[in-house]
Amino acid sequence: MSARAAGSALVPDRDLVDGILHSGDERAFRELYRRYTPRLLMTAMRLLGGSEMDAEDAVQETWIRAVRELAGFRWKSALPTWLTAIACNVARDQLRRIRRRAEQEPVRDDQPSSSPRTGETIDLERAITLLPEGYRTVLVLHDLEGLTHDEIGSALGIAPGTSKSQLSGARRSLRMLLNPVEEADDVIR
Amino acid sequence: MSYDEELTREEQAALESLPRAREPSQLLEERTIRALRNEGLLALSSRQRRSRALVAAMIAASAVLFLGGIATGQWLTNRQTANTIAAMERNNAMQAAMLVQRTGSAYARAIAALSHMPDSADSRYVAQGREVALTALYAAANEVVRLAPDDPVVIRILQVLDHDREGADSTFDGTHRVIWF
Repeated sequence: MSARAAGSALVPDRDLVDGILHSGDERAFRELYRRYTPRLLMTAMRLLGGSEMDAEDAVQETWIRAVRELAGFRWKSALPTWLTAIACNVARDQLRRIRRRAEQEPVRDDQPSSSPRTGETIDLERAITLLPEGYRTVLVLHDLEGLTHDEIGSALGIAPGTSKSQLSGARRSLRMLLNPVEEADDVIR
Repeated sequence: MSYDEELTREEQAALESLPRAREPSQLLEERTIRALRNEGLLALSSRQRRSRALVAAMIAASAVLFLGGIATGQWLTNRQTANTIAAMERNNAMQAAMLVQRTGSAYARAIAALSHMPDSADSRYVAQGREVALTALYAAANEVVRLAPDDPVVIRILQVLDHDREGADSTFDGTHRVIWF
Protein backbone atom coordinates (compact mmCIF):
# COMPACT_ATOMS: atom_id res chain seq x y z
CA MET A 1 0.00 0.00 0.00
CA SER A 2 1.04 3.65 -0.13
CA ALA A 3 2.81 3.36 3.23
CA ARG A 4 5.31 0.98 1.72
CA ALA A 5 5.65 3.04 -1.42
CA ALA A 6 6.39 6.21 0.50
CA GLY A 7 9.61 4.78 1.93
CA SER A 8 11.18 4.00 5.27
CA ALA A 9 11.06 7.57 6.62
CA LEU A 10 7.45 6.99 7.54
CA VAL A 11 6.58 6.33 11.15
CA PRO A 12 5.59 2.65 11.38
CA ASP A 13 1.87 1.91 11.65
CA ARG A 14 2.41 0.20 14.99
CA ASP A 15 3.92 3.36 16.56
CA LEU A 16 1.04 5.46 15.30
CA VAL A 17 -1.46 2.94 16.63
CA ASP A 18 0.32 2.98 20.01
CA GLY A 19 0.08 6.77 20.07
CA ILE A 20 -3.66 6.61 19.46
CA LEU A 21 -4.19 3.88 22.02
CA HIS A 22 -2.09 5.39 24.80
CA SER A 23 -2.90 9.06 24.56
CA GLY A 24 -5.57 9.47 21.88
CA ASP A 25 -2.87 11.21 19.83
CA GLU A 26 -4.67 13.18 17.12
CA ARG A 27 -1.50 13.72 15.10
CA ALA A 28 -0.85 10.00 14.97
CA PHE A 29 -4.41 9.39 13.85
CA ARG A 30 -4.18 12.04 11.11
CA GLU A 31 -1.04 10.35 9.85
CA LEU A 32 -2.74 6.96 9.66
CA TYR A 33 -5.84 8.51 8.17
CA ARG A 34 -3.91 10.22 5.38
CA ARG A 35 -1.97 7.06 4.72
CA TYR A 36 -4.94 4.77 4.16
CA THR A 37 -8.05 6.83 3.49
CA PRO A 38 -7.55 7.37 -0.27
CA ARG A 39 -7.48 3.63 -0.83
CA LEU A 40 -10.35 2.98 1.60
CA LEU A 41 -12.43 5.61 -0.14
CA MET A 42 -11.92 4.05 -3.56
CA THR A 43 -12.75 0.60 -2.22
CA ALA A 44 -15.85 1.88 -0.45
CA MET A 45 -16.98 3.63 -3.62
CA ARG A 46 -16.72 0.42 -5.59
CA LEU A 47 -18.44 -1.64 -2.92
CA LEU A 48 -21.26 0.88 -2.69
CA GLY A 49 -21.81 1.05 -6.43
CA GLY A 50 -20.12 4.35 -7.16
CA SER A 51 -21.66 6.89 -4.79
CA GLU A 52 -18.92 9.15 -3.44
CA MET A 53 -21.16 10.61 -0.75
CA ASP A 54 -22.09 7.18 0.60
CA ALA A 55 -18.45 6.15 0.33
CA GLU A 56 -17.31 9.09 2.47
CA ASP A 57 -19.87 8.19 5.12
CA ALA A 58 -18.61 4.62 5.02
CA VAL A 59 -14.99 5.72 5.39
CA GLN A 60 -15.83 7.86 8.40
CA GLU A 61 -17.69 4.97 10.02
CA THR A 62 -14.79 2.66 9.15
CA TRP A 63 -12.33 4.84 11.05
CA ILE A 64 -14.63 5.15 14.03
CA ARG A 65 -15.07 1.36 14.24
CA ALA A 66 -11.36 0.83 13.63
CA VAL A 67 -10.21 3.17 16.40
CA ARG A 68 -12.83 1.70 18.73
CA GLU A 69 -11.52 -1.81 18.09
CA LEU A 70 -7.86 -0.88 17.73
CA ALA A 71 -6.93 -2.29 21.14
CA GLY A 72 -8.11 -5.71 19.98
CA PHE A 73 -6.08 -5.69 16.76
CA ARG A 74 -3.42 -8.40 17.09
CA TRP A 75 -1.31 -7.58 13.99
CA LYS A 76 -1.91 -11.04 12.53
CA SER A 77 -2.76 -9.32 9.26
CA ALA A 78 -1.49 -6.03 7.87
CA LEU A 79 -3.29 -2.95 9.18
CA PRO A 80 -4.62 -1.96 5.72
CA THR A 81 -6.09 -5.43 5.23
CA TRP A 82 -7.83 -5.15 8.58
CA LEU A 83 -9.11 -1.69 7.68
CA THR A 84 -10.37 -2.93 4.32
CA ALA A 85 -12.28 -5.72 6.04
CA ILE A 86 -13.93 -3.18 8.36
CA ALA A 87 -14.75 -0.92 5.39
CA CYS A 88 -16.29 -3.90 3.63
CA ASN A 89 -18.59 -4.64 6.56
CA VAL A 90 -19.52 -1.00 6.95
CA ALA A 91 -20.35 -0.83 3.24
CA ARG A 92 -22.54 -3.94 3.50
CA ASP A 93 -24.45 -2.43 6.44
CA GLN A 94 -24.85 0.75 4.47
CA LEU A 95 -26.11 -1.09 1.39
CA ARG A 96 -28.70 -2.83 3.55
CA ARG A 97 -29.88 0.55 4.82
CA ILE A 98 -29.97 1.99 1.31
CA ARG A 99 -31.98 -1.00 0.08
CA ARG A 100 -34.47 -0.66 2.94
CA ARG A 101 -34.86 3.05 2.17
CA ALA A 102 -35.35 2.31 -1.53
CA GLU A 103 -38.03 -0.29 -0.76
CA GLN A 104 -39.98 2.28 1.23
CA GLU A 105 -39.83 4.92 -1.50
CA PRO A 106 -42.38 4.76 -4.34
CA VAL A 107 -40.96 3.64 -7.72
CA ARG A 108 -40.78 6.43 -10.29
CA ASP A 109 -41.10 5.71 -14.02
CA ASP A 110 -38.86 8.60 -15.06
CA GLN A 111 -35.81 7.29 -13.19
CA PRO A 112 -33.06 6.19 -15.60
CA SER A 113 -32.14 2.52 -15.44
CA SER A 114 -28.60 1.69 -14.32
CA SER A 115 -28.54 -1.56 -16.34
CA PRO A 116 -26.90 -1.39 -19.77
CA ARG A 117 -29.10 -1.68 -22.84
CA THR A 118 -28.81 -4.90 -24.85
CA GLY A 119 -25.52 -4.96 -26.78
CA GLU A 120 -24.23 -1.78 -25.13
CA THR A 121 -20.51 -1.74 -24.37
CA ILE A 122 -19.63 -0.40 -20.95
CA ASP A 123 -16.33 0.21 -19.23
CA LEU A 124 -14.85 -2.01 -16.56
CA GLU A 125 -15.52 0.40 -13.70
CA ARG A 126 -19.21 0.62 -14.50
CA ALA A 127 -19.43 -3.13 -15.04
CA ILE A 128 -18.08 -3.70 -11.53
CA THR A 129 -20.71 -1.43 -10.01
CA LEU A 130 -23.40 -3.39 -11.88
CA LEU A 131 -22.39 -6.73 -10.39
CA PRO A 132 -24.63 -8.21 -7.69
CA GLU A 133 -23.44 -7.13 -4.23
CA GLY A 134 -21.91 -10.48 -3.21
CA TYR A 135 -20.01 -10.88 -6.47
CA ARG A 136 -18.86 -7.29 -6.45
CA THR A 137 -17.57 -7.49 -2.89
CA VAL A 138 -15.46 -10.58 -3.48
CA LEU A 139 -14.17 -9.31 -6.82
CA VAL A 140 -13.15 -5.95 -5.38
CA LEU A 141 -11.49 -7.51 -2.35
CA HIS A 142 -9.67 -10.20 -4.30
CA ASP A 143 -8.87 -8.79 -7.73
CA LEU A 144 -8.43 -5.15 -6.79
CA GLU A 145 -7.39 -5.11 -3.13
CA GLY A 146 -5.39 -8.32 -3.23
CA LEU A 147 -6.97 -10.05 -0.23
CA THR A 148 -6.69 -13.82 -0.10
CA HIS A 149 -9.77 -16.06 0.07
CA ASP A 150 -8.96 -16.77 3.70
CA GLU A 151 -8.86 -13.06 4.50
CA ILE A 152 -12.07 -12.46 2.57
CA GLY A 153 -13.69 -15.38 4.34
CA SER A 154 -12.75 -14.05 7.75
CA ALA A 155 -13.78 -10.48 6.86
CA LEU A 156 -17.18 -11.47 5.51
CA GLY A 157 -17.81 -14.41 7.81
CA ILE A 158 -17.94 -16.93 4.95
CA ALA A 159 -15.93 -20.02 4.08
CA PRO A 160 -12.94 -19.51 1.76
CA GLY A 161 -14.59 -21.91 -0.68
CA THR A 162 -17.65 -19.67 -0.84
CA SER A 163 -15.37 -16.75 -1.56
CA LYS A 164 -13.81 -18.71 -4.46
CA SER A 165 -17.15 -19.63 -6.01
CA GLN A 166 -18.39 -16.04 -5.60
CA LEU A 167 -15.27 -14.82 -7.38
CA SER A 168 -15.85 -17.21 -10.28
CA GLY A 169 -19.42 -16.02 -10.59
CA ALA A 170 -18.28 -12.41 -10.39
CA ARG A 171 -15.71 -12.83 -13.16
CA ARG A 172 -18.24 -14.61 -15.38
CA SER A 173 -20.83 -11.87 -14.84
CA LEU A 174 -18.23 -9.21 -15.46
CA ARG A 175 -17.34 -10.75 -18.83
CA MET A 176 -21.00 -10.88 -19.78
CA LEU A 177 -21.43 -7.25 -18.91
CA LEU A 178 -18.31 -6.23 -20.84
CA ASN A 179 -18.84 -8.45 -23.91
CA PRO A 180 -22.54 -9.27 -23.97
CA VAL A 181 -22.61 -10.62 -27.56
CA GLU A 182 -19.53 -12.87 -27.33
CA GLU A 183 -20.59 -14.33 -24.01
CA ALA A 184 -24.09 -15.01 -25.29
CA ASP A 185 -22.58 -16.83 -28.29
CA ASP A 186 -20.40 -18.91 -25.93
CA VAL A 187 -23.43 -19.86 -23.92
CA ILE A 188 -25.34 -20.91 -27.08
CA ARG A 189 -22.37 -22.94 -28.34
CA MET B 1 -14.50 -19.47 -17.54
CA SER B 2 -14.28 -22.55 -15.38
CA TYR B 3 -14.65 -22.57 -11.58
CA ASP B 4 -11.77 -20.54 -10.11
CA GLU B 5 -10.27 -20.09 -13.55
CA GLU B 6 -7.60 -17.45 -13.92
CA LEU B 7 -8.12 -14.08 -15.49
CA THR B 8 -6.71 -13.60 -18.95
CA ARG B 9 -3.68 -11.39 -19.26
CA GLU B 10 -5.83 -8.64 -20.81
CA GLU B 11 -8.41 -8.86 -18.05
CA GLN B 12 -5.73 -8.73 -15.41
CA ALA B 13 -4.16 -5.70 -17.09
CA ALA B 14 -7.53 -4.01 -17.30
CA LEU B 15 -8.16 -4.59 -13.62
CA GLU B 16 -4.67 -3.39 -12.69
CA SER B 17 -5.17 -0.21 -14.65
CA LEU B 18 -8.10 0.81 -12.50
CA PRO B 19 -7.29 3.50 -9.92
CA ARG B 20 -6.70 2.18 -6.43
CA ALA B 21 -7.05 5.42 -4.53
CA ARG B 22 -9.16 8.52 -4.48
CA GLU B 23 -8.33 11.73 -2.64
CA PRO B 24 -10.95 12.44 0.00
CA SER B 25 -12.21 15.93 0.72
CA GLN B 26 -10.57 17.87 3.55
CA LEU B 27 -14.02 18.02 5.10
CA LEU B 28 -14.08 14.25 5.56
CA GLU B 29 -10.88 14.29 7.59
CA GLU B 30 -12.16 17.00 9.88
CA ARG B 31 -15.56 15.44 10.42
CA THR B 32 -13.96 12.06 11.12
CA ILE B 33 -11.65 13.64 13.70
CA ARG B 34 -14.60 15.46 15.26
CA ALA B 35 -16.64 12.26 15.45
CA LEU B 36 -13.74 10.43 17.11
CA ARG B 37 -13.28 13.24 19.60
CA ASN B 38 -16.99 13.22 20.39
CA GLU B 39 -16.76 9.50 21.11
CA GLY B 40 -13.81 10.18 23.39
CA LEU B 41 -11.53 8.10 21.17
CA LEU B 42 -9.16 10.97 20.43
CA ALA B 43 -7.81 13.54 22.86
CA LEU B 44 -8.32 17.23 22.25
CA SER B 45 -5.41 19.09 20.72
CA SER B 46 -3.54 21.50 23.01
CA ARG B 47 -5.07 24.46 21.15
CA GLN B 48 -8.55 23.08 21.67
CA ARG B 49 -7.77 22.31 25.29
CA ARG B 50 -6.57 25.88 25.73
CA SER B 51 -9.64 27.26 24.01
CA ARG B 52 -11.97 25.04 26.07
CA ALA B 53 -10.12 26.03 29.25
CA LEU B 54 -10.46 29.67 28.24
CA VAL B 55 -14.18 29.30 27.66
CA ALA B 56 -14.55 27.48 30.97
CA ALA B 57 -12.54 30.18 32.73
CA MET B 58 -14.66 32.89 31.12
CA ILE B 59 -17.85 31.15 32.20
CA ALA B 60 -16.47 30.71 35.72
CA ALA B 61 -15.37 34.35 35.85
CA SER B 62 -18.80 35.50 34.64
CA ALA B 63 -20.48 33.33 37.25
CA VAL B 64 -18.19 34.69 39.99
CA LEU B 65 -18.86 38.27 38.89
CA PHE B 66 -22.59 37.66 38.73
CA LEU B 67 -22.80 35.92 42.10
CA GLY B 68 -20.40 38.46 43.62
CA GLY B 69 -22.63 41.26 42.37
CA ILE B 70 -25.69 39.63 43.88
CA ALA B 71 -23.91 38.98 47.20
CA THR B 72 -22.57 42.54 47.39
CA GLY B 73 -25.99 43.96 46.57
CA GLN B 74 -27.62 41.81 49.21
CA TRP B 75 -24.99 42.69 51.78
CA LEU B 76 -25.39 46.41 51.09
CA THR B 77 -29.17 46.12 51.23
CA ASN B 78 -29.06 44.08 54.43
CA ARG B 79 -26.63 46.46 56.05
CA GLN B 80 -28.76 49.44 55.11
CA THR B 81 -31.91 47.70 56.33
CA ALA B 82 -30.26 46.69 59.60
CA ASN B 83 -29.02 50.24 60.11
CA THR B 84 -32.45 51.62 59.37
CA ILE B 85 -34.16 49.17 61.71
CA ALA B 86 -31.61 49.86 64.44
CA ALA B 87 -32.08 53.59 64.00
CA MET B 88 -35.84 53.18 64.09
CA GLU B 89 -35.59 51.05 67.21
CA ARG B 90 -33.24 53.57 68.81
CA ASN B 91 -35.65 56.39 67.89
CA ASN B 92 -38.68 54.45 69.10
CA ALA B 93 -37.02 53.52 72.42
CA MET B 94 -35.93 57.07 72.94
CA GLN B 95 -39.38 58.38 72.07
CA ALA B 96 -41.01 55.80 74.32
CA ALA B 97 -38.68 56.72 77.22
CA MET B 98 -39.45 60.40 76.68
CA LEU B 99 -43.15 59.60 76.59
CA VAL B 100 -42.86 57.66 79.88
CA GLN B 101 -40.95 60.51 81.39
CA ARG B 102 -43.47 63.09 80.19
CA THR B 103 -46.47 61.03 81.23
CA GLY B 104 -44.93 60.15 84.59
CA SER B 105 -44.22 63.81 85.26
CA ALA B 106 -47.79 64.68 84.25
CA TYR B 107 -49.05 61.89 86.52
CA ALA B 108 -47.01 63.19 89.48
CA ARG B 109 -48.03 66.75 88.71
CA ALA B 110 -51.71 65.76 88.51
CA ILE B 111 -51.62 64.04 91.90
CA ALA B 112 -49.74 67.01 93.36
CA ALA B 113 -52.33 69.36 91.84
CA LEU B 114 -55.09 67.27 93.34
CA SER B 115 -53.54 67.45 96.78
CA HIS B 116 -53.23 71.23 96.46
CA MET B 117 -56.85 71.68 95.56
CA PRO B 118 -58.70 73.57 98.24
CA ASP B 119 -61.42 70.95 98.36
CA SER B 120 -58.95 68.05 98.52
CA ALA B 121 -60.13 67.47 101.99
CA ASP B 122 -63.38 66.24 100.49
CA SER B 123 -63.18 62.50 101.05
CA ARG B 124 -65.01 61.70 97.76
CA TYR B 125 -62.40 63.43 95.67
CA VAL B 126 -59.57 62.08 97.78
CA ALA B 127 -60.84 58.53 97.28
CA GLN B 128 -61.29 59.12 93.55
CA GLY B 129 -57.86 60.67 93.23
CA ARG B 130 -56.33 57.82 95.22
CA GLU B 131 -58.03 55.19 93.07
CA VAL B 132 -56.86 56.86 89.88
CA ALA B 133 -53.33 57.24 91.20
CA LEU B 134 -53.09 53.66 92.46
CA THR B 135 -54.68 52.16 89.34
CA ALA B 136 -52.25 54.07 87.18
CA LEU B 137 -49.39 53.06 89.46
CA TYR B 138 -50.52 49.41 89.34
CA ALA B 139 -50.74 49.46 85.54
CA ALA B 140 -47.36 51.16 85.32
CA ALA B 141 -45.79 48.64 87.74
CA ASN B 142 -47.22 45.81 85.64
CA GLU B 143 -45.53 47.21 82.56
CA VAL B 144 -42.26 47.88 84.37
CA VAL B 145 -42.12 44.30 85.63
CA ARG B 146 -42.08 43.20 82.00
CA LEU B 147 -39.05 45.35 81.40
CA ALA B 148 -37.30 44.20 84.57
CA PRO B 149 -38.95 41.00 85.88
CA ASP B 150 -36.53 40.67 88.84
CA ASP B 151 -36.64 44.26 89.96
CA PRO B 152 -37.33 43.99 93.76
CA VAL B 153 -38.80 47.51 94.03
CA VAL B 154 -41.40 46.87 91.32
CA ILE B 155 -42.20 43.45 92.76
CA ARG B 156 -42.77 44.98 96.17
CA ILE B 157 -45.00 47.72 94.74
CA LEU B 158 -47.06 45.06 92.92
CA GLN B 159 -47.32 42.89 96.05
CA VAL B 160 -48.53 45.84 98.12
CA LEU B 161 -50.97 47.00 95.43
CA ASP B 162 -52.25 43.43 94.86
CA HIS B 163 -52.82 43.11 98.59
CA ASP B 164 -54.59 46.47 98.63
CA ARG B 165 -56.78 45.51 95.62
CA GLU B 166 -57.73 42.17 97.20
CA GLY B 167 -58.86 44.05 100.31
CA ALA B 168 -60.73 46.54 98.17
CA ASP B 169 -62.47 43.71 96.27
CA SER B 170 -63.77 42.22 99.49
CA THR B 171 -65.25 45.57 100.53
CA PHE B 172 -66.35 46.56 96.97
CA ASP B 173 -69.68 48.28 97.09
CA GLY B 174 -70.38 47.79 93.35
CA THR B 175 -69.55 51.31 92.21
CA HIS B 176 -66.33 52.53 90.75
CA ARG B 177 -65.42 56.10 91.19
CA VAL B 178 -63.38 56.38 88.07
CA ILE B 179 -64.48 56.04 84.47
CA TRP B 180 -61.59 54.98 82.24
CA PHE B 181 -61.41 56.14 78.71
